[in-house]
Amino acid sequence: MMKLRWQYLKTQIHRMLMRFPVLFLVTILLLGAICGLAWAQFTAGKDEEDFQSLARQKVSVAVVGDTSESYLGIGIYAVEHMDSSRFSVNFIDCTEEEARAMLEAEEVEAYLLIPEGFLDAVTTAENKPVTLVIGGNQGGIGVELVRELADMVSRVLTSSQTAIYTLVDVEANYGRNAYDSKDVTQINLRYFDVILSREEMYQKETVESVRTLSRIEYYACAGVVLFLLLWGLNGTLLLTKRDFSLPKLIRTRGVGAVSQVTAELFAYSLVLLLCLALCVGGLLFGLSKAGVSFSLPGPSESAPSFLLGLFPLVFSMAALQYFLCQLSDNPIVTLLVTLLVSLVLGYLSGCFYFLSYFPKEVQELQVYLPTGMQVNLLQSAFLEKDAAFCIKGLTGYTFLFWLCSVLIRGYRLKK
Amino acid sequence: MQFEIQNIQKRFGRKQVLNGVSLAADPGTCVGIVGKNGSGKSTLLSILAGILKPDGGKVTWGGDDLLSSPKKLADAIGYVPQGTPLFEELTALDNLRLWYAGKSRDLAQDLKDGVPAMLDIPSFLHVPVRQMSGGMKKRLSISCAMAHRPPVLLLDEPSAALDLSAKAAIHAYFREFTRQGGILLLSTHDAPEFELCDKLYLLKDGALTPYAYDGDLPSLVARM
Repeated sequence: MMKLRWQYLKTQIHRMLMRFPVLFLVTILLLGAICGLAWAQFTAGKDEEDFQSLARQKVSVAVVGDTSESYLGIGIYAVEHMDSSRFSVNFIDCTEEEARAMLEAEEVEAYLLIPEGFLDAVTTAENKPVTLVIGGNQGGIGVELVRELADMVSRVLTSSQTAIYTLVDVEANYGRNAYDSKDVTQINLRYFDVILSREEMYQKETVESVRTLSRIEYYACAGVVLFLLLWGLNGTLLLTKRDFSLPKLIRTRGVGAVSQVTAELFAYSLVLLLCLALCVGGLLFGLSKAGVSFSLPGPSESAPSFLLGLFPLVFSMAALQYFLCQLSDNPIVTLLVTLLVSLVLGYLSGCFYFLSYFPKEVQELQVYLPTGMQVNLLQSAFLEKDAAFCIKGLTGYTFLFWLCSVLIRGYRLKK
Repeated sequence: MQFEIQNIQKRFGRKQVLNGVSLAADPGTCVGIVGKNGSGKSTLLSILAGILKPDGGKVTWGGDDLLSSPKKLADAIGYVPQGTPLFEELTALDNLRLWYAGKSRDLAQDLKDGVPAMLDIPSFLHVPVRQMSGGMKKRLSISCAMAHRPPVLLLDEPSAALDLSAKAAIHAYFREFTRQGGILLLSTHDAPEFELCDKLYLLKDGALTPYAYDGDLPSLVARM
């Protein structure tokens, strides 16, 4: 009986390898499509700044006031071009009516109403507050960013006022000659320190992975998972059974549902791994020929150790696709189901768009999805982070899909 | 040793498909079962092959209860179902290797003078199954079923959709098999195949009735 089980495994591997040329051709076409998509993404963004702005859309704020006044104009220009705000804030100079209309149309997050003679009021210590107008229905990170901005402007103004009054005091006590003293130079330097510590203006906290992975690393992770997902369309060719004569017959000889599913899944995983290995090898060769510097993640940065690290990913993906192919004996149905599930899982796992675009609930869900874990496993390899959670999760998913497939096969064998 | 079926019962939902089916066959005999589509012929053969479990009854070979011993049942019975129990991508040789697992010497010998040789398998040994004709597939399926040399061979409509030469080749093998002492149990709709059978049974309303075919097909159809 063991011999028959072993022979069944060998026959399954043989059977799948017989289809390998066709499968590999489909794989190459898929890989070409994915590379095309990645190339379009790369060329769409001119540089890293564009990539960053893809991940974080700018907040628009209208400014109502006489910006032609030189000091106010310089102030707005300075804030608009600070490192901490130039990727996140866009100021629009307009009248109050225009600002209100834009706020109602949700074209701006808020508008700042700067009163006439505001700078004179600042220098004479009069209280002429700048009004921040926010739409009643608006919330979220955009509005929070505007509030941060208002706090920042207040801080700049109060620091300026403190500096001005200190200098007035110095002049009153020591005369105009005091401007030449070292103390005044020190005061000026401290003022510059306060005003120009621009990186401290915002408290920055990075929560999405795109800020910690380079573009090529991000797309490599997303691309591998997307490639494996779409490769599942091949699975329908290999795994969907219309005729159950053979499985039923071989069951009478002691090769039951457990042995059959295990052998078929193992053979399918091997073919998937082989295809992936050839594609990774081909890509590395192509990149080296093109002179693009790219190193594989992992301690040794070698292709075999990289592929070894992909085992949990490949086996869990194979188990998912195998399970989907057990749901029906109609290849068209399994093809459509596999395509639909692949697109949904790929979408929710950040293979098409950055996860930061999605609601918080989806981002939390991604961590527990099989494809989400696969993406995170790859990313943790690049970031050299602990991937124990992903490996355990993927092992659990592999077992779950295997178990479900065994139950379905067992049911069909007894029908 | 006698192959005996006693009081086999099988129900699918509300439908009683087999209701006390019994028969006995001695070595060297061919038993045919006729009946209209849906009468339970395939169900009966699936039970005898161990694919389906009956609700009641016994199947014995030389006194041993085969249904309570899957190993003995697998050793005693070879089964050729209606479908194609073959790997479509692989060649005849690859398919035979599966059923001759661990017995490559036996396979080599049988390809010279065993069942595969009798069924002329070596002439298409390296042809993939998907490129084979229906007759080739049927001959290969029989060879696979006979790999472990069972004394009882079950066949579900073996000559359905085959051309005359394929039928002739298969029938010649059946005669040889029974001549060597094998027991053949087949379900059939094919009148020329009735002549191969030493005994014929009509399966109707879940029960088997002995039937002697006299060449009067309209009469048989009326009784079905």
